[in-house]
Amino acid sequence: MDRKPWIEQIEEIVGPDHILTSDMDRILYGYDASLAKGKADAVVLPGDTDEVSRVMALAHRERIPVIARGSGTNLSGGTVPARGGVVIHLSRMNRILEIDLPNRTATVEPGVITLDLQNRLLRDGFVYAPDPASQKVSTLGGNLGENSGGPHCLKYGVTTNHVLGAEVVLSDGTVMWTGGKTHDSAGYDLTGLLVGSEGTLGVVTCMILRILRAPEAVKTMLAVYDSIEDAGNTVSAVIAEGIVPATLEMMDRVVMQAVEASVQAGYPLDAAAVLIIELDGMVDGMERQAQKIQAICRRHHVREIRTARDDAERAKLWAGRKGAFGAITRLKPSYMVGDGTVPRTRLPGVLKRVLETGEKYGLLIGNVFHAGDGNLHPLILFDERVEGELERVKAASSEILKICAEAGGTISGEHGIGLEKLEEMHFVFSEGDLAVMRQVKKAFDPKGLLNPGKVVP
Amino acid sequence: MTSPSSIRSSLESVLGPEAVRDDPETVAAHAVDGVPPRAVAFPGSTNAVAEAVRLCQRKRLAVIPWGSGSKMAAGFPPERFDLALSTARLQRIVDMDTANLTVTAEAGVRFKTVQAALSGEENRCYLPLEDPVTPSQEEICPERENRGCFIPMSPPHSRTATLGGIVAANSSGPTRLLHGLPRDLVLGVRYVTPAGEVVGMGGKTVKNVSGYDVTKLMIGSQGSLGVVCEITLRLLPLPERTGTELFAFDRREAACRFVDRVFESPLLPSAVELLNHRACALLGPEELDRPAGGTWGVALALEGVEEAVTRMRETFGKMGEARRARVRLQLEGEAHARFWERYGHLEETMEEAWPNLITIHPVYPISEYSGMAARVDALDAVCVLRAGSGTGRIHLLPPGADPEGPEKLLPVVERILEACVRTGGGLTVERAAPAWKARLPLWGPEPDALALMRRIKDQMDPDRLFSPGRFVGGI
Ligand SMILES: Cc1cc2nc3c(=O)[nH]c(=O)nc-3n(C[C@H](O)[C@H](O)[C@H](O)COP(=O)(O)OP(=O)(O)OC[C@H]3O[C@@H](n4cnc5c(N)ncnc54)[C@H](O)[C@@H]3O)c2cc1C
Repeated sequence: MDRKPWIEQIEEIVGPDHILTSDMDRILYGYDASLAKGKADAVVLPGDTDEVSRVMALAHRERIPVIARGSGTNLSGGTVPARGGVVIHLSRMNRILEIDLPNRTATVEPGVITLDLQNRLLRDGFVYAPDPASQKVSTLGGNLGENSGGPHCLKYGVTTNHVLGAEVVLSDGTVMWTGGKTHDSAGYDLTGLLVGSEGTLGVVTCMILRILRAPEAVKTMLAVYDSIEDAGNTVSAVIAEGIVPATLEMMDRVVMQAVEASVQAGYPLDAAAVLIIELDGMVDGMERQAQKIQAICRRHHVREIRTARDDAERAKLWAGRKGAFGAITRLKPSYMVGDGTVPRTRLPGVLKRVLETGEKYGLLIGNVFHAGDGNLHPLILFDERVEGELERVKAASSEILKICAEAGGTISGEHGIGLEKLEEMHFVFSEGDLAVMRQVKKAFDPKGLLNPGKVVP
Repeated sequence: MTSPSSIRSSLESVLGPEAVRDDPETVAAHAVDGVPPRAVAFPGSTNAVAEAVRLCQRKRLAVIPWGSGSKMAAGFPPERFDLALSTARLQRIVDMDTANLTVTAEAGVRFKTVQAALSGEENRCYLPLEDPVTPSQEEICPERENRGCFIPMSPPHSRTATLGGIVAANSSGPTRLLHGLPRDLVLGVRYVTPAGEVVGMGGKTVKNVSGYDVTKLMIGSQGSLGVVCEITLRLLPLPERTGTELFAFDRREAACRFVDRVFESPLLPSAVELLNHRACALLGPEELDRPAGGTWGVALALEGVEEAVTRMRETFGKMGEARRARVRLQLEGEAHARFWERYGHLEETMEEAWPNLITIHPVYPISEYSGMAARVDALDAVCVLRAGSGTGRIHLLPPGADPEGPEKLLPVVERILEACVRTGGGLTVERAAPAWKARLPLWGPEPDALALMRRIKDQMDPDRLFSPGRFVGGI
């Protein structure tokens, strides 16, 4: 293998143990949880901000692309080194630096696993609200990169509503802070721009997160339906009643069957859809709210409502939802997950068209979604070994995004654009809109070295 | 240099004669820091805004977007100022989608107008859905009990402020404690870039990671990156019950300990405001500041379901008693609404009474509020601190008829700034007479990322036509 001279310089910065250059490693870091692939020139595992900065300054001089990587669980090709370059894997920067309860902040390095922070905070009775289903593996840096959401975002908002400040290394190695421990700061909201920028504007090396007191009470219900429309109508009716639950999650039969085969959450196999409805907050009045919701469910022909009596039952109801993506591979070896989002009231109509699209292309589609905020996750199942199937999957997926865009929605709610949805950006943005995004990119990364070929077509 | 009359006539040719004014009165009413524009434009649509901006671009005219003018006193005096671009005719509420909990309105719509419209709007949902394929007939849910929605904001200047101005200043009030800042509540904007292009960012969904979140960049950009013309905001259903608990304490320490207890509890008030005695006298019912002087008041806004509000009232009442609150007042219905209305109108009240006022917006980590209260105690000021949000407003009163009055306030501002900076915060000066501005830290300490902010401005407004020189670092 031809050893590039800059590899030695990187070795000097991070030490020979923290750079990977074997063919195998370069291929391993060439993909993520999406279907895209690439090949890295080298993988670097820096230990602190200074090392990140020096590696990036070097890459800048040598004009080498830099790709930040957390756990690589993103579903859009966000960490695929599409044009080669250095992958900066932040797994060694995984310290929780400070938990400041009086100021309600947590200061962390980007490689901290989301669930590790959440578990640590629970010991003090606090929570970090964004809860992607991948929280056991995903990193907080990756959550920032994708502006991740989760079931509880209906009530608490997505990652961007919980990041107060960030230390960021720009493409030339400059280190700067945006925001801080305070909730306001003068000047442009650069933190807001960095969140969801998929590693294309800078590499975040430290972040200050907002934490909240854990809710006093939680009530989790599972509502079982014989028709998916009834489940969808329940969602609209609950909101119209003036109740905004913490979560309103939906799953259809295909997904339930896969889930049952893998985690046995106790979902009925013959139902058309289930809703997971969770209330949280102060205990007062929660029972009455729950009864109101149950009455709404009944008005919409619910078959059965189960209420979790304790934490164990609650965990079981959730296990199926959180394990849904993993479980789906029981039905077919591969799946492609969509992330289109529509105004909540358009869900039932859009859902129907999603299923029709599946039929049109002869593909099985399972549906899990954050119904409360109109975020669909159609799981298109397929077998890569069947010739032509991948092409059909891509065509179907793109068509579904078109449907979402036409319904007044957007092409990604929480998984990002990455490589996979570049073309579809045109469904929702005009050339003028994209030109503004390119200006943002130019201001941060004039040479275009950070995660090139992503987000903005 | 283009003469005023030629500015008017060229604008008239694109906007029509009714949309351009350069009479002395109109021009004077749109002066910024004493600098009058050469003309004022009142475009009636987003496209007309774009036309006007393209004209300014061609003629290199400096533009300052103008909402109701309530926040124009913030920032450095403009380096150049040719055209005030008023949003006064952008008055359409485009879409009230209460079933989806969003509202879209043009930038010139007053906050209070939308809020009133929303509270009366029947909650709609698309039921029943027999055939989900055809766009369903919008029907009013037959059995719903709840009516009405609201924008969960409580901005200052609440009677006059326009949506565009609130967004451009990321302006927030007491209930940000529970509901967040405009940056958390704005889902999308349509705006005109400095090049005169109409662009749309974000949309009607709460979740959206399609491309860069340019909406965030526009929020709080203070008119330096273009004209926000249309805004989509997140709504909430009107709560079942609302109310206010007011307490007064003889000693500041007792008030702070009470506030600490509130935050240690699992209860969720929507605002926890600490008021110095002058603020008590101005805002509260008379009893709040009697005997006058020395008092610190705490105002708690409550909203939620019946049971939760009842429990908060009881618990906070007991906490107040334990800290020997001298006064406890419970406001409901009209009295509750009036109290917070006065609150939202505090800025205007102050500005009318003390034209020489200096208003600052301190920023600090939330636990530092008690230190800030101690600092304020010694000042002649009307002060409300947003406990739990790490900010507040301090209106410094110039001493009497002393012509050197404001001069004496400059070191006071410096000291507050130092205190904020020591804790990792800063401040912004929201109002000061133009004559003092050069000597005040208008935007607080220089942000670490100022160079990057400049690069953004250079990319988006290379000719520096939008609010030139007014923003952070003279951007
Ligand atoms: C089974 C499964 C379930 C999932 N469920 C959800 C869900 O419920 N909600 C949801 O939102 N997502 C979900 N995802 C998607 C994914 O887990 C999230 O996008 C997650 O935030 C990615 O974290 P990561 O650490 O794996 O990041 P990576 O995939 O490594 O990186 C994500 C992006 O962020 C950038 N990045 C990483 N670190 C940094 C940094 N320090 N500075 C700057 N940029 C950086 C990368 O370049 C990349 O563009 C799921 C994925 C899977 C496989």
